[in-house]
Amino acid sequence: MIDSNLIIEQLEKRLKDSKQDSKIQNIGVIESNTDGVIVASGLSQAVMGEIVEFDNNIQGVILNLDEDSVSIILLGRGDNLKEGDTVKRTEKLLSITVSQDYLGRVIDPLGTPLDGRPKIAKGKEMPLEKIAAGVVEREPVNSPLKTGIKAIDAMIPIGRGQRELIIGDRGLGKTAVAIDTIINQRTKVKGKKQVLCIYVAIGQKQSTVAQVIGRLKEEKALDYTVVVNAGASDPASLQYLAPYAGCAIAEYFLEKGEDVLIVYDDLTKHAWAYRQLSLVLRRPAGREAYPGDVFYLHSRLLERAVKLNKKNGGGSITALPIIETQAGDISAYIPTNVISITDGQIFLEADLFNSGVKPAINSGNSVSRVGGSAQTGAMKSVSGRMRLELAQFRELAAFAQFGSELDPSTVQQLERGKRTTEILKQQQYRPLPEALEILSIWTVTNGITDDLPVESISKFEAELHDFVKSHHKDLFEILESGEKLTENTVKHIRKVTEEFKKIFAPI
Amino acid sequence: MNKKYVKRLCVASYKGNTLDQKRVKKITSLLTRKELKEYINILKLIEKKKTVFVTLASKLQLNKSTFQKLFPNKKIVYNYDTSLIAGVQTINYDIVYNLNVKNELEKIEASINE
Repeated sequence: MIDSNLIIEQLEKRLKDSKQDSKIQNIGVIESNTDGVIVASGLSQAVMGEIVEFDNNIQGVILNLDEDSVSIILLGRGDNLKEGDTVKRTEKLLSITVSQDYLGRVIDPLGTPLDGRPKIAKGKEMPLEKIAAGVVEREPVNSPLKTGIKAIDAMIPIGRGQRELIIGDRGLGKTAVAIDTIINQRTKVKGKKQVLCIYVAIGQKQSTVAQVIGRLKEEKALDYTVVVNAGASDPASLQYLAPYAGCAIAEYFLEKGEDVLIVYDDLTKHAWAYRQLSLVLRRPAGREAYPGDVFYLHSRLLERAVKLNKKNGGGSITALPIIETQAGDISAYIPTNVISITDGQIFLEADLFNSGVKPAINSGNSVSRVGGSAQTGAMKSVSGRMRLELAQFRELAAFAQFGSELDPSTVQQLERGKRTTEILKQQQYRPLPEALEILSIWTVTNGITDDLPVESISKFEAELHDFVKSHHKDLFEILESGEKLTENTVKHIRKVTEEFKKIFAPI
Repeated sequence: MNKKYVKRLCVASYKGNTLDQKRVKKITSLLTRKELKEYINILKLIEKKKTVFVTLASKLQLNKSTFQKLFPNKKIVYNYDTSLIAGVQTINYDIVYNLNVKNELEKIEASINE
């Protein structure tokens, strides 16, 4: 016997879910199909950004509204669509269904799984386009997002809720910096939520994306990561939507009060995809053939990175957009646009890379506009001098090339600079916990390594880390707490490092 | 000549509610091939907007005066399609009114599948 209350409930749900009047439909007829863009006549009641459906269940999004026609970008292959075919409105704006089950999955911008596992049915509809949180809902960035990379955590610290651009030529390690940051989030920081990660691959080679996914799996980082992939062989429409899909997924977790890290790799290809779409849509071309609203393309995306106040859940979205430059030109159109939007940049330089400095971060041109607010007390106390010392070293290094006789203090500065550069080198996929970062930086800025050969610095650092982890766990825990270094702690560090130095055998 | 002007020419090709052949001849002789294509497309669109397509399930349902009252000043074309089972489908340019049994059954099928 069917419960009558259940029937009434189902009818009420059906009434709530049903469209206003499904007997009346607004349709259009395809007039042309060019390069993934359909021009259709009719659809006079359609709105901008609405999803429409074709006869073969392929969907598209309306991007242009003209007097008698609309232009639609396809969200799939439209080879079978021809002139005269019908297109219907769905009365829905572009959205993606998100749930907790997305963690560990690889999907396309429409939410379709690409990892061969079953489709995720239930979830919340998150709109791809959304107005960013206002000023009142935000609070200043005040907690660190640790990348595990010494050069970044010491001199260009990133906070939760910040936008930090990673910029450089091809092959200099931009993706490597982002992946190391994702891997470092597997270690949960005491008193802080674990950071969930989203990696958005835009226009990348599928082999490259497969490598990234493989590495994340190996490092056990995929469990808290979502990979959104729109590869080089995917339509420009999917490449255009990919970052917004990633941001919509991030906002789902943000609403639950989580901290999220989102990497956009890379926005240069995103701008190219948008340029392609705009040119096919016959929008007026501006500088370098980009449409006039290419700044807005990225600004509305990156503004959605936010640190919410406690009243609004206290969650955050930290964005790491990546931009590829040509021949180190950071004054080109797209790079300057994104630099002006973000809260700082990490500039990777080819000269440094070629001379063996990896990560090839140019600390002179790199900046974090959040700065010390995103650092723990301990890190702030050791890293303060380092940036200045490195800047002085760079200036003096030019003089050293002349081979002229230098005074002892200049020689000392040069030698300190060489050792600082050496200690900031770091292997890929080896992010360090903050305690070990602080230890390494303190050691070099306090002259412990001044009498060691530069070639031995890496060995010294590695063995010192092992020594502290195995014999001085108490010091490790003190440094890991992040509290400002007291006199006693400094004495303890000095005692331990000098003790280790006695047993260390340089190369 | 851009689309806006071609559209004006299309509107000017009409005498009252019908196309004037003399005017059409005069106008088309002045157009380039590309403009002519545009002209033809816009004319087709205008004709489509002026025409209402009514599809009925059977001839017994036909009541021309009702449809004439609903769509005054429009040309009505009547078709018959028994697959509608009962009811009518009316297409007025880009608005489709599906008041037939076939549509209701399709809706039920879609909601079951959901």
